[in-house]
Amino acid sequence: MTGTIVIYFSISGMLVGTIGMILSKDLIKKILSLGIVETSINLMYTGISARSGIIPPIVSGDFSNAFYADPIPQAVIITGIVISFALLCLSLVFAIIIYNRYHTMNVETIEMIFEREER
Amino acid sequence: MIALVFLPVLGGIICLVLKDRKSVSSIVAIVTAFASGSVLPFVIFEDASIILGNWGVLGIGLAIDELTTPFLLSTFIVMLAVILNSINKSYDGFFYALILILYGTLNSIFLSRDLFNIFVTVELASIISFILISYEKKPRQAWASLKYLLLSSLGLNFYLLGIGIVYMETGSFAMESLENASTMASVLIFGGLAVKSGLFFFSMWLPDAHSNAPIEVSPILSGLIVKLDVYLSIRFITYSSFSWMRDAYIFIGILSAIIGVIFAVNSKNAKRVLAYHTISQVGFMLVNCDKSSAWHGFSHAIFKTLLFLAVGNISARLGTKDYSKWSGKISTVEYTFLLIGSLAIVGFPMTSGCVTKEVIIHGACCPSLRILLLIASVGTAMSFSKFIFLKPVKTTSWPAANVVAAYVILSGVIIAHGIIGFEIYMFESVLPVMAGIAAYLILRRFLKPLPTYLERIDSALSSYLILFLITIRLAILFSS
Repeated sequence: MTGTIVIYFSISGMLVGTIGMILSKDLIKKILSLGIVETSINLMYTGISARSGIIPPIVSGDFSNAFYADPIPQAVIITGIVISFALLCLSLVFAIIIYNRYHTMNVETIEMIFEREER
Repeated sequence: MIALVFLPVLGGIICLVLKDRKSVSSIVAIVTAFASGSVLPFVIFEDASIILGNWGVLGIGLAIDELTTPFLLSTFIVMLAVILNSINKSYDGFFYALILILYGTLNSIFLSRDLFNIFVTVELASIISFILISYEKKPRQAWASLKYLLLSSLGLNFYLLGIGIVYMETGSFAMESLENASTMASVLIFGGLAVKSGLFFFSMWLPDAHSNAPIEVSPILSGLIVKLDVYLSIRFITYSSFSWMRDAYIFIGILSAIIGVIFAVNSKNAKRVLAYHTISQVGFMLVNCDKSSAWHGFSHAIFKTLLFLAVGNISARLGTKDYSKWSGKISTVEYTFLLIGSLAIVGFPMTSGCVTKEVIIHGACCPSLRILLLIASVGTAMSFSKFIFLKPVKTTSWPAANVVAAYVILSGVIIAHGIIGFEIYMFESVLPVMAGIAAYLILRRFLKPLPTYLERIDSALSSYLILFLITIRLAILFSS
Protein backbone atom coordinates (compact mmCIF):
# COMPACT_ATOMS: atom_id res chain seq x y z
CA MET A 1 0.00 0.00 0.00
CA THR A 2 2.67 2.52 1.03
CA GLY A 3 4.77 1.48 -1.94
CA THR A 4 1.99 2.04 -4.47
CA ILE A 5 1.19 5.50 -3.10
CA VAL A 6 4.88 6.46 -3.25
CA ILE A 7 5.19 5.20 -6.84
CA TYR A 8 2.20 7.24 -8.10
CA PHE A 9 3.39 10.28 -6.15
CA SER A 10 6.86 10.07 -7.67
CA ILE A 11 5.58 9.63 -11.23
CA SER A 12 3.48 12.79 -10.83
CA GLY A 13 6.60 14.53 -9.51
CA MET A 14 8.42 13.45 -12.65
CA LEU A 15 5.71 14.96 -14.84
CA VAL A 16 5.86 18.22 -12.86
CA GLY A 17 9.64 18.39 -13.33
CA THR A 18 9.40 17.68 -17.07
CA ILE A 19 6.79 20.41 -17.56
CA GLY A 20 8.99 22.77 -15.55
CA MET A 21 11.93 22.05 -17.86
CA ILE A 22 9.88 23.04 -20.91
CA LEU A 23 8.12 26.09 -19.52
CA SER A 24 10.79 27.94 -17.54
CA LYS A 25 13.07 30.31 -19.45
CA ASP A 26 15.67 30.57 -16.68
CA LEU A 27 18.65 28.25 -16.90
CA ILE A 28 18.91 27.64 -13.16
CA LYS A 29 15.19 26.84 -12.99
CA LYS A 30 15.63 24.33 -15.80
CA ILE A 31 18.46 22.64 -13.90
CA LEU A 32 16.37 22.61 -10.71
CA SER A 33 13.48 20.99 -12.61
CA LEU A 34 15.89 18.31 -13.78
CA GLY A 35 16.78 17.86 -10.10
CA ILE A 36 13.08 17.34 -9.30
CA VAL A 37 12.81 14.67 -12.02
CA GLU A 38 15.89 12.86 -10.71
CA THR A 39 14.75 12.98 -7.08
CA SER A 40 11.31 11.67 -8.06
CA ILE A 41 12.80 8.70 -9.86
CA ASN A 42 15.02 7.91 -6.87
CA LEU A 43 11.93 8.06 -4.67
CA MET A 44 10.16 5.68 -7.04
CA TYR A 45 12.79 3.01 -6.48
CA THR A 46 12.27 3.35 -2.75
CA GLY A 47 8.59 2.87 -3.44
CA ILE A 48 9.29 -0.30 -5.45
CA SER A 49 11.23 -1.81 -2.56
CA ALA A 50 8.50 -0.82 -0.09
CA ARG A 51 5.87 -2.86 -1.90
CA SER A 52 6.67 -6.01 0.09
CA GLY A 53 6.87 -4.20 3.45
CA ILE A 54 8.58 -1.27 5.13
CA ILE A 55 10.72 -2.90 7.82
CA PRO A 56 14.46 -2.30 7.11
CA PRO A 57 15.96 -5.43 5.49
CA ILE A 58 18.41 -6.20 8.30
CA VAL A 59 18.08 -9.84 9.32
CA SER A 60 18.14 -10.31 13.12
CA GLY A 61 16.63 -13.14 15.13
CA ASP A 62 13.13 -14.17 14.13
CA PHE A 63 12.17 -12.82 10.70
CA SER A 64 9.59 -15.34 9.62
CA ASN A 65 6.46 -13.20 9.79
CA ALA A 66 7.85 -9.69 9.36
CA PHE A 67 7.32 -7.73 6.10
CA TYR A 68 10.80 -6.73 5.02
CA ALA A 69 11.54 -4.14 2.31
CA ASP A 70 13.10 -5.46 -0.88
CA PRO A 71 16.82 -4.58 -0.62
CA ILE A 72 17.74 -4.78 -4.33
CA PRO A 73 16.14 -1.55 -5.66
CA GLN A 74 17.45 0.30 -2.63
CA ALA A 75 20.93 -1.03 -3.27
CA VAL A 76 21.02 -0.17 -6.96
CA ILE A 77 19.49 3.30 -6.66
CA ILE A 78 22.41 4.50 -4.52
CA THR A 79 24.39 4.57 -7.77
CA GLY A 80 21.56 6.54 -9.38
CA ILE A 81 21.66 9.11 -6.58
CA VAL A 82 25.41 9.58 -7.04
CA ILE A 83 24.97 9.98 -10.80
CA SER A 84 22.22 12.59 -10.45
CA PHE A 85 24.41 14.49 -7.98
CA ALA A 86 27.30 14.48 -10.48
CA LEU A 87 25.03 15.63 -13.31
CA LEU A 88 23.65 18.55 -11.27
CA CYS A 89 27.20 19.64 -10.32
CA LEU A 90 28.38 19.47 -13.92
CA SER A 91 25.39 21.41 -15.28
CA LEU A 92 25.90 24.14 -12.68
CA VAL A 93 29.57 24.39 -13.73
CA PHE A 94 28.49 24.91 -17.35
CA ALA A 95 25.94 27.51 -16.18
CA ILE A 96 28.74 29.38 -14.36
CA ILE A 97 30.93 29.36 -17.51
CA ILE A 98 28.06 30.82 -19.55
CA TYR A 99 27.14 33.40 -16.89
CA ASN A 100 30.72 34.66 -16.58
CA ARG A 101 30.81 35.43 -20.29
CA TYR A 102 27.32 36.79 -21.01
CA HIS A 103 25.96 37.88 -17.58
CA THR A 104 22.51 36.45 -18.19
CA MET A 105 20.63 33.27 -17.33
CA ASN A 106 17.77 33.76 -19.77
CA VAL A 107 17.84 30.94 -22.33
CA GLU A 108 16.37 32.98 -25.19
CA THR A 109 18.88 35.81 -24.75
CA ILE A 110 21.80 33.37 -24.69
CA GLU A 111 20.64 31.62 -27.86
CA MET A 112 20.07 34.97 -29.60
CA ILE A 113 23.64 36.00 -28.77
CA PHE A 114 25.04 32.71 -30.13
CA GLU A 115 23.03 32.94 -33.36
CA ARG A 116 24.26 36.51 -33.89
CA GLU A 117 27.86 35.41 -33.27
CA GLU A 118 27.63 32.69 -35.88
CA ARG A 119 26.64 35.02 -38.66
CA MET B 1 36.66 -10.60 -21.26
CA ILE B 2 37.00 -8.51 -18.11
CA ALA B 3 40.40 -7.33 -19.40
CA LEU B 4 38.60 -5.39 -22.14
CA VAL B 5 37.01 -3.24 -19.44
CA PHE B 6 39.76 -3.38 -16.87
CA LEU B 7 42.87 -2.54 -18.93
CA PRO B 8 41.72 0.85 -20.33
CA VAL B 9 40.42 2.00 -16.95
CA LEU B 10 43.75 1.03 -15.37
CA GLY B 11 45.60 2.98 -18.09
CA GLY B 12 43.32 5.94 -17.42
CA ILE B 13 44.16 5.88 -13.73
CA ILE B 14 47.89 5.79 -14.57
CA CYS B 15 47.42 8.80 -16.87
CA LEU B 16 45.56 10.62 -14.10
CA VAL B 17 48.41 9.99 -11.65
CA LEU B 18 51.03 11.16 -14.17
CA LYS B 19 48.90 14.19 -15.11
CA ASP B 20 51.70 16.73 -15.35
CA ARG B 21 54.00 14.74 -17.66
CA LYS B 22 52.51 15.23 -21.10
CA SER B 23 54.83 12.96 -23.09
CA VAL B 24 54.45 10.00 -20.72
CA SER B 25 50.65 10.06 -20.71
CA SER B 26 50.32 9.93 -24.49
CA ILE B 27 52.68 6.90 -24.57
CA VAL B 28 50.62 5.23 -21.81
CA ALA B 29 47.48 5.91 -23.83
CA ILE B 30 48.85 4.28 -27.00
CA VAL B 31 50.21 1.27 -25.09
CA THR B 32 46.89 0.78 -23.32
CA ALA B 33 44.92 1.05 -26.54
CA PHE B 34 47.15 -1.57 -28.18
CA ALA B 35 47.03 -3.83 -25.11
CA SER B 36 43.25 -3.85 -24.99
CA GLY B 37 43.13 -4.27 -28.76
CA SER B 38 45.38 -7.32 -28.51
CA VAL B 39 42.81 -8.94 -26.20
CA LEU B 40 40.17 -8.75 -28.95
CA PRO B 41 41.39 -11.68 -31.16
CA PHE B 42 41.17 -14.02 -28.16
CA VAL B 43 37.54 -13.23 -27.32
CA ILE B 44 35.56 -12.21 -30.40
CA PHE B 45 35.57 -15.49 -32.31
CA GLU B 46 33.45 -17.52 -29.93
CA ASP B 47 30.34 -16.81 -27.89
CA ALA B 48 30.92 -16.74 -24.16
CA SER B 49 29.16 -15.48 -21.07
CA ILE B 50 29.99 -15.04 -17.40
CA ILE B 51 28.14 -13.72 -14.36
CA LEU B 52 30.12 -11.62 -11.92
CA GLY B 53 29.79 -12.50 -8.24
CA ASN B 54 27.99 -15.48 -6.71
CA TRP B 55 24.55 -13.89 -6.83
CA GLY B 56 22.81 -16.01 -9.45
CA VAL B 57 20.35 -14.02 -11.60
CA LEU B 58 21.00 -10.89 -9.52
CA GLY B 59 24.67 -10.73 -10.57
CA ILE B 60 25.92 -8.64 -13.49
CA GLY B 61 26.06 -10.77 -16.62
CA LEU B 62 28.73 -10.18 -19.27
CA ALA B 63 28.48 -11.90 -22.64
CA ILE B 64 29.97 -11.74 -26.10
CA ASP B 65 28.34 -12.75 -29.39
CA GLU B 66 28.22 -11.85 -33.06
CA LEU B 67 26.30 -8.61 -32.46
CA THR B 68 28.94 -7.32 -30.07
CA THR B 69 31.91 -7.89 -32.41
CA PRO B 70 31.51 -4.93 -34.84
CA PHE B 71 31.04 -2.49 -31.97
CA LEU B 72 34.07 -3.75 -30.01
CA LEU B 73 36.23 -3.56 -33.16
CA SER B 74 35.05 -0.06 -34.07
CA THR B 75 35.66 1.16 -30.50
CA PHE B 76 39.26 -0.05 -30.68
CA ILE B 77 40.02 1.44 -34.12
CA VAL B 78 38.36 4.80 -33.42
CA MET B 79 40.09 5.19 -30.06
CA LEU B 80 43.48 4.28 -31.56
CA ALA B 81 43.07 6.83 -34.38
CA VAL B 82 41.91 9.54 -31.99
CA ILE B 83 44.83 8.98 -29.62
CA LEU B 84 47.31 8.96 -32.52
CA ASN B 85 45.86 12.22 -33.81
CA SER B 86 46.09 13.92 -30.41
CA ILE B 87 49.82 13.39 -29.84
CA ASN B 88 52.03 16.51 -29.84
CA LYS B 89 49.14 18.82 -29.10
CA SER B 90 48.42 20.72 -25.92
CA TYR B 91 46.42 17.93 -24.29
CA ASP B 92 47.50 16.88 -20.78
CA GLY B 93 47.13 13.62 -18.90
CA PHE B 94 43.59 14.46 -17.83
CA PHE B 95 42.39 14.33 -21.46
CA TYR B 96 43.99 10.92 -22.04
CA ALA B 97 42.59 9.66 -18.72
CA LEU B 98 39.08 10.66 -19.79
CA ILE B 99 39.52 9.06 -23.23
CA LEU B 100 40.80 5.78 -21.77
CA ILE B 101 38.11 5.55 -19.08
CA LEU B 102 35.54 6.24 -21.81
CA TYR B 103 37.06 3.37 -23.82
CA GLY B 104 36.64 0.95 -20.90
CA THR B 105 33.11 2.20 -20.26
CA LEU B 106 32.05 1.71 -23.87
CA ASN B 107 33.46 -1.83 -23.90
CA SER B 108 31.55 -2.52 -20.71
CA ILE B 109 28.27 -1.30 -22.25
CA PHE B 110 28.75 -3.58 -25.25
CA LEU B 111 29.49 -6.58 -23.03
CA SER B 112 26.92 -6.02 -20.29
CA ARG B 113 23.68 -8.00 -20.05
CA ASP B 114 22.22 -6.25 -17.01
CA LEU B 115 19.74 -3.40 -17.45
CA PHE B 116 20.81 -1.36 -14.45
CA ASN B 117 24.49 -1.81 -15.25
CA ILE B 118 23.75 -0.48 -18.73
CA PHE B 119 22.13 2.60 -17.16
CA VAL B 120 25.18 3.26 -14.97
CA THR B 121 27.70 2.80 -17.79
CA VAL B 122 25.67 4.86 -20.29
CA GLU B 123 25.48 7.68 -17.75
CA LEU B 124 29.22 7.42 -17.10
CA ALA B 125 29.94 7.59 -20.85
CA SER B 126 27.60 10.60 -21.12
CA ILE B 127 29.24 12.45 -18.24
CA ILE B 128 32.70 11.89 -19.75
CA SER B 129 31.48 13.09 -23.13
CA PHE B 130 29.97 16.25 -21.57
CA ILE B 131 33.37 17.07 -20.08
CA LEU B 132 35.15 16.28 -23.35
CA ILE B 133 32.81 18.47 -25.47
CA SER B 134 33.56 21.50 -23.31
CA TYR B 135 37.23 20.60 -22.87
CA GLU B 136 38.50 23.91 -24.32
CA LYS B 137 36.12 25.79 -21.93
CA LYS B 138 34.66 28.04 -24.63
CA PRO B 139 31.13 29.32 -23.77
CA ARG B 140 29.82 27.97 -27.10
CA GLN B 141 31.00 24.47 -26.18
CA ALA B 142 29.66 24.81 -22.64
CA TRP B 143 26.25 25.74 -24.05
CA ALA B 144 26.22 22.82 -26.51
CA SER B 145 27.27 20.49 -23.72
CA LEU B 146 24.65 21.83 -21.29
CA LYS B 147 21.91 21.39 -23.89
CA TYR B 148 23.05 17.80 -24.42
CA LEU B 149 23.20 17.24 -20.66
CA LEU B 150 19.68 18.49 -19.94
CA LEU B 151 18.10 16.46 -22.75
CA SER B 152 20.09 13.29 -22.23
CA SER B 153 19.67 13.09 -18.46
CA LEU B 154 15.93 13.71 -18.80
CA GLY B 155 15.80 10.84 -21.30
CA LEU B 156 17.80 8.49 -19.12
CA ASN B 157 15.39 9.16 -16.26
CA PHE B 158 12.64 7.78 -18.48
CA TYR B 159 14.86 4.75 -19.10
CA LEU B 160 15.24 4.32 -15.34
CA LEU B 161 11.44 4.50 -14.95
CA GLY B 162 11.15 1.82 -17.63
CA ILE B 163 13.54 -0.62 -15.98
CA GLY B 164 11.83 0.07 -12.65
CA ILE B 165 8.61 -1.19 -14.23
CA VAL B 166 10.48 -4.21 -15.61
CA TYR B 167 11.74 -4.98 -12.09
CA MET B 168 8.25 -4.63 -10.65
CA GLU B 169 6.88 -7.07 -13.21
CA THR B 170 9.61 -9.70 -13.27
CA GLY B 171 11.75 -9.20 -10.16
CA SER B 172 15.08 -9.04 -11.97
CA PHE B 173 17.28 -6.56 -13.83
CA ALA B 174 18.72 -9.20 -16.17
CA MET B 175 18.19 -8.55 -19.88
CA GLU B 176 16.30 -11.83 -20.35
CA SER B 177 13.47 -10.50 -18.17
CA LEU B 178 12.54 -8.09 -20.99
CA GLU B 179 10.90 -11.10 -22.64
CA ASN B 180 8.04 -10.96 -20.09
CA ALA B 181 7.86 -7.18 -19.72
CA SER B 182 4.85 -5.07 -20.72
CA THR B 183 4.70 -2.73 -23.73
CA MET B 184 4.67 0.35 -21.46
CA ALA B 185 8.05 -0.57 -20.02
CA SER B 186 9.50 -1.15 -23.48
CA VAL B 187 8.21 2.22 -24.73
CA LEU B 188 9.81 3.99 -21.79
CA ILE B 189 13.13 2.17 -22.35
CA PHE B 190 13.04 2.99 -26.07
CA GLY B 191 12.11 6.64 -25.48
CA GLY B 192 14.77 7.10 -22.86
CA LEU B 193 17.53 5.78 -25.08
CA ALA B 194 16.22 7.49 -28.25
CA VAL B 195 17.34 10.87 -26.94
CA LYS B 196 20.95 9.71 -27.32
CA SER B 197 20.37 7.95 -30.64
CA GLY B 198 20.76 10.85 -33.03
CA LEU B 199 17.40 10.33 -34.74
CA PHE B 200 15.89 13.53 -36.13
CA PHE B 201 13.33 15.18 -33.76
CA PHE B 202 14.50 12.95 -30.90
CA SER B 203 17.98 14.39 -30.46
CA MET B 204 18.20 17.90 -31.81
CA TRP B 205 21.11 18.67 -29.47
CA LEU B 206 23.31 16.69 -31.85
CA PRO B 207 24.38 19.15 -34.60
CA ASP B 208 25.42 21.77 -32.05
CA ALA B 209 27.38 19.37 -29.85
CA HIS B 210 29.09 17.51 -32.69
CA SER B 211 30.10 20.59 -34.62
CA ASN B 212 31.45 22.54 -31.65
CA ALA B 213 33.39 19.75 -29.94
CA PRO B 214 37.23 19.65 -30.20
CA ILE B 215 38.78 17.82 -33.19
CA GLU B 216 39.44 14.58 -31.34
CA VAL B 217 36.07 14.46 -29.57
CA SER B 218 33.67 14.78 -32.53
CA PRO B 219 34.68 11.35 -33.97
CA ILE B 220 34.11 9.70 -30.58
CA LEU B 221 30.68 11.33 -30.26
CA SER B 222 29.62 10.51 -33.78
CA GLY B 223 31.23 7.10 -34.10
CA LEU B 224 30.72 5.61 -30.67
CA ILE B 225 28.37 7.49 -28.31
CA VAL B 226 25.61 7.60 -30.92
CA LYS B 227 26.11 3.86 -31.55
CA LEU B 228 25.09 3.03 -27.97
CA ASP B 229 21.44 3.40 -28.81
CA VAL B 230 21.86 1.60 -32.15
CA TYR B 231 23.49 -1.34 -30.37
CA LEU B 232 20.93 -1.47 -27.57
CA SER B 233 18.03 -1.23 -30.07
CA ILE B 234 19.42 -4.13 -32.12
CA ARG B 235 19.84 -6.10 -28.90
CA PHE B 236 16.41 -5.32 -27.41
CA ILE B 237 14.42 -5.83 -30.61
CA THR B 238 14.93 -9.60 -30.35
CA TYR B 239 12.73 -9.72 -27.22
CA SER B 240 9.02 -10.13 -27.74
CA SER B 241 7.95 -7.05 -25.75
CA PHE B 242 9.85 -4.89 -28.26
CA SER B 243 8.30 -6.37 -31.40
CA TRP B 244 6.32 -3.15 -32.06
CA MET B 245 9.63 -1.32 -32.42
CA ARG B 246 10.44 -2.84 -35.82
CA ASP B 247 7.44 -1.13 -37.42
CA ALA B 248 8.01 2.12 -35.56
CA TYR B 249 11.66 2.22 -36.58
CA ILE B 250 10.80 1.94 -40.29
CA PHE B 251 8.85 5.21 -40.04
CA ILE B 252 11.22 7.03 -37.70
CA GLY B 253 14.36 5.80 -39.44
CA ILE B 254 13.36 6.74 -42.98
CA LEU B 255 12.13 10.16 -41.76
CA SER B 256 15.46 10.75 -40.07
CA ALA B 257 17.49 9.53 -43.07
CA ILE B 258 15.80 11.95 -45.47
CA ILE B 259 15.42 15.07 -43.29
CA GLY B 260 19.03 14.78 -42.07
CA VAL B 261 20.24 14.73 -45.67
CA ILE B 262 18.13 17.78 -46.58
CA PHE B 263 19.69 19.78 -43.75
CA ALA B 264 23.19 18.53 -44.63
CA VAL B 265 22.96 19.45 -48.32
CA ASN B 266 22.07 23.01 -47.43
CA SER B 267 24.68 23.57 -44.74
CA LYS B 268 27.83 25.60 -45.35
CA ASN B 269 29.79 24.64 -42.24
CA ALA B 270 31.81 21.47 -42.95
CA LYS B 271 31.49 20.07 -39.41
CA ARG B 272 27.74 20.68 -39.41
CA VAL B 273 27.46 18.77 -42.71
CA LEU B 274 29.07 15.79 -41.00
CA ALA B 275 26.87 16.20 -37.91
CA TYR B 276 23.67 16.19 -39.99
CA HIS B 277 24.96 13.13 -41.80
CA THR B 278 25.24 11.32 -38.50
CA ILE B 279 21.47 11.85 -38.10
CA SER B 280 20.86 10.52 -41.60
CA GLN B 281 23.12 7.47 -41.26
CA VAL B 282 21.55 6.49 -37.93
CA GLY B 283 18.23 6.54 -39.75
CA PHE B 284 19.73 4.18 -42.35
CA MET B 285 20.95 1.82 -39.62
CA LEU B 286 17.66 1.63 -37.76
CA VAL B 287 15.45 1.05 -40.81
CA ASN B 288 16.09 -2.66 -40.66
CA CYS B 289 17.27 -3.30 -37.18
CA ASP B 290 19.42 -6.45 -37.40
CA LYS B 291 22.98 -7.68 -37.95
CA SER B 292 23.44 -5.66 -41.15
CA SER B 293 22.83 -2.45 -39.24
CA ALA B 294 25.47 -3.48 -36.69
CA TRP B 295 28.01 -3.76 -39.51
CA HIS B 296 26.85 -0.46 -41.00
CA GLY B 297 27.48 0.99 -37.55
CA PHE B 298 31.03 -0.36 -37.74
CA SER B 299 31.77 1.10 -41.17
CA HIS B 300 30.05 4.39 -40.25
CA ALA B 301 32.23 4.74 -37.16
CA ILE B 302 35.38 4.24 -39.25
CA PHE B 303 34.67 6.58 -42.16
CA LYS B 304 33.06 9.23 -39.96
CA THR B 305 36.20 9.25 -37.81
CA LEU B 306 38.36 9.71 -40.92
CA LEU B 307 36.13 12.54 -42.17
CA PHE B 308 35.91 14.32 -38.80
CA LEU B 309 39.68 14.10 -38.25
CA ALA B 310 40.47 15.33 -41.78
CA VAL B 311 37.92 18.14 -41.67
CA GLY B 312 38.93 19.11 -38.12
CA ASN B 313 42.64 19.25 -38.97
CA ILE B 314 42.04 21.26 -42.15
CA SER B 315 39.74 23.75 -40.47
CA ALA B 316 42.14 24.14 -37.54
CA ARG B 317 44.97 24.89 -40.00
CA LEU B 318 43.02 27.30 -42.20
CA GLY B 319 40.99 28.86 -39.38
CA THR B 320 37.59 28.47 -41.03
CA LYS B 321 34.94 25.76 -41.08
CA ASP B 322 33.35 27.12 -44.28
CA TYR B 323 34.28 24.54 -46.91
CA SER B 324 33.85 26.94 -49.83
CA LYS B 325 36.93 28.87 -48.63
CA TRP B 326 39.12 25.73 -48.61
CA SER B 327 39.36 25.35 -52.36
CA GLY B 328 42.95 25.84 -53.52
CA LYS B 329 44.34 25.78 -49.99
CA ILE B 330 44.37 22.10 -48.98
CA SER B 331 47.30 19.84 -49.84
CA THR B 332 47.06 16.72 -52.01
CA VAL B 333 47.59 14.35 -49.06
CA GLU B 334 44.73 15.87 -47.08
CA TYR B 335 42.53 15.85 -50.17
CA THR B 336 43.21 12.14 -50.81
CA PHE B 337 42.05 11.06 -47.37
CA LEU B 338 39.05 13.42 -47.48
CA LEU B 339 38.16 11.81 -50.82
CA ILE B 340 38.44 8.26 -49.44
CA GLY B 341 36.14 9.18 -46.54
CA SER B 342 33.63 10.92 -48.81
CA LEU B 343 33.54 8.01 -51.26
CA ALA B 344 32.99 5.61 -48.37
CA ILE B 345 30.05 7.56 -46.97
CA VAL B 346 28.35 7.95 -50.37
CA GLY B 347 28.74 4.19 -50.97
CA PHE B 348 31.15 4.04 -53.91
CA PRO B 349 32.16 0.43 -54.82
CA MET B 350 35.30 -0.97 -53.16
CA THR B 351 34.72 0.97 -49.91
CA SER B 352 33.16 -0.23 -46.67
CA GLY B 353 30.20 2.15 -46.97
CA CYS B 354 29.11 0.49 -50.21
CA VAL B 355 29.15 -3.04 -48.78
CA THR B 356 27.07 -2.34 -45.70
CA LYS B 357 24.73 0.22 -47.27
CA GLU B 358 23.82 -2.07 -50.19
CA VAL B 359 23.02 -4.89 -47.76
CA ILE B 360 20.65 -2.54 -45.90
CA ILE B 361 18.98 -1.27 -49.08
CA HIS B 362 18.52 -4.81 -50.41
CA GLY B 363 17.24 -6.04 -47.04
CA ALA B 364 14.50 -3.37 -46.90
CA CYS B 365 11.06 -4.83 -46.47
CA CYS B 366 9.10 -3.27 -49.33
CA PRO B 367 9.83 -1.50 -52.69
CA SER B 368 8.63 1.94 -51.62
CA LEU B 369 10.99 1.87 -48.64
CA ARG B 370 13.82 0.88 -50.98
CA ILE B 371 13.09 3.89 -53.21
CA LEU B 372 13.09 6.25 -50.21
CA LEU B 373 16.45 4.83 -49.09
CA LEU B 374 17.86 5.35 -52.60
CA ILE B 375 16.65 8.98 -52.49
CA ALA B 376 18.48 9.41 -49.18
CA SER B 377 21.69 8.01 -50.66
CA VAL B 378 21.39 10.32 -53.69
CA GLY B 379 21.18 13.19 -51.20
CA THR B 380 24.27 11.88 -49.39
CA ALA B 381 26.21 11.88 -52.66
CA MET B 382 24.92 15.38 -53.35
CA SER B 383 26.18 16.83 -50.12
CA PHE B 384 29.57 15.11 -50.29
CA SER B 385 30.16 16.39 -53.84
CA LYS B 386 31.11 19.59 -51.99
CA PHE B 387 34.23 17.83 -50.72
CA ILE B 388 34.87 15.89 -53.93
CA PHE B 389 34.99 19.09 -56.01
CA LEU B 390 37.49 20.91 -53.78
CA LYS B 391 40.69 21.82 -55.64
CA PRO B 392 43.93 20.65 -53.98
CA VAL B 393 47.29 22.38 -54.50
CA LYS B 394 50.53 20.50 -55.01
CA THR B 395 52.82 21.03 -52.07
CA THR B 396 55.69 18.98 -50.72
CA SER B 397 54.66 19.55 -47.09
CA TRP B 398 53.10 16.57 -45.34
CA PRO B 399 50.97 16.61 -42.21
CA ALA B 400 52.65 15.33 -39.03
CA ALA B 401 53.61 11.64 -39.06
CA ASN B 402 51.20 10.61 -36.29
CA VAL B 403 48.24 12.24 -38.07
CA VAL B 404 49.13 10.43 -41.31
CA ALA B 405 49.41 7.16 -39.35
CA ALA B 406 45.88 7.66 -38.01
CA TYR B 407 44.58 8.43 -41.52
CA VAL B 408 46.33 5.39 -43.02
CA ILE B 409 44.93 2.98 -40.40
CA LEU B 410 41.39 4.25 -40.97
CA SER B 411 41.49 4.27 -44.76
CA GLY B 412 43.20 0.85 -44.75
CA VAL B 413 40.26 -0.54 -42.75
CA ILE B 414 37.78 1.14 -45.11
CA ILE B 415 39.36 -0.29 -48.27
CA ALA B 416 40.06 -3.75 -46.80
CA HIS B 417 36.46 -4.07 -45.59
CA GLY B 418 35.23 -2.83 -48.97
CA ILE B 419 37.23 -5.41 -50.91
CA ILE B 420 36.54 -8.39 -48.60
CA GLY B 421 32.80 -7.81 -48.45
CA PHE B 422 32.34 -6.90 -52.12
CA GLU B 423 29.82 -8.74 -54.27
CA ILE B 424 29.06 -8.17 -57.91
CA TYR B 425 25.52 -6.80 -57.52
CA MET B 426 26.92 -3.90 -55.52
CA PHE B 427 28.07 -2.16 -58.70
CA GLU B 428 24.60 -0.70 -58.96
CA SER B 429 25.51 1.65 -56.11
CA VAL B 430 27.36 3.75 -58.71
CA LEU B 431 23.99 4.97 -60.01
CA PRO B 432 22.85 6.97 -56.94
CA VAL B 433 26.38 8.39 -56.61
CA MET B 434 26.35 9.65 -60.21
CA ALA B 435 22.80 10.97 -59.82
CA GLY B 436 23.81 12.81 -56.65
CA ILE B 437 26.86 14.43 -58.25
CA ALA B 438 24.79 15.54 -61.25
CA ALA B 439 22.09 16.93 -58.96
CA TYR B 440 24.73 18.85 -57.02
CA LEU B 441 26.14 20.44 -60.19
CA ILE B 442 22.64 21.55 -61.23
CA LEU B 443 21.30 22.67 -57.89
CA ARG B 444 24.33 24.10 -56.11
CA ARG B 445 23.30 27.67 -56.82
CA PHE B 446 20.11 27.25 -54.76
CA LEU B 447 21.62 25.78 -51.60
CA LYS B 448 21.26 28.00 -48.52
CA PRO B 449 21.65 27.10 -44.81
CA LEU B 450 18.27 26.15 -43.35
CA PRO B 451 17.02 27.80 -40.13
CA THR B 452 18.23 26.16 -36.92
CA TYR B 453 14.99 26.85 -35.06
CA LEU B 454 14.56 23.20 -34.03
CA GLU B 455 17.94 23.14 -32.33
CA ARG B 456 17.06 25.71 -29.65
CA ILE B 457 16.76 24.10 -26.24
CA ASP B 458 13.03 24.62 -25.78
CA SER B 459 12.09 23.35 -29.23
CA ALA B 460 14.51 20.43 -28.90
CA LEU B 461 12.89 19.46 -25.58
CA SER B 462 9.35 19.83 -26.88
CA SER B 463 10.01 17.98 -30.14
CA TYR B 464 11.56 15.12 -28.15
CA LEU B 465 8.58 14.89 -25.80
CA ILE B 466 5.99 15.20 -28.59
CA LEU B 467 7.67 12.42 -30.60
CA PHE B 468 7.86 10.37 -27.40
CA LEU B 469 4.08 10.70 -26.95
CA ILE B 470 3.53 9.77 -30.60
CA THR B 471 5.71 6.68 -30.11
CA ILE B 472 3.65 5.62 -27.11
CA ARG B 473 0.55 5.89 -29.30
CA LEU B 474 2.25 3.92 -32.12
CA ALA B 475 3.36 1.22 -29.70
CA ILE B 476 -0.15 0.73 -28.35
CA LEU B 477 -1.42 0.61 -31.94
CA PHE B 478 1.15 -1.91 -33.19
CA SER B 479 1.18 -4.22 -30.19
CA SER B 480 -2.60 -4.64 -30.01
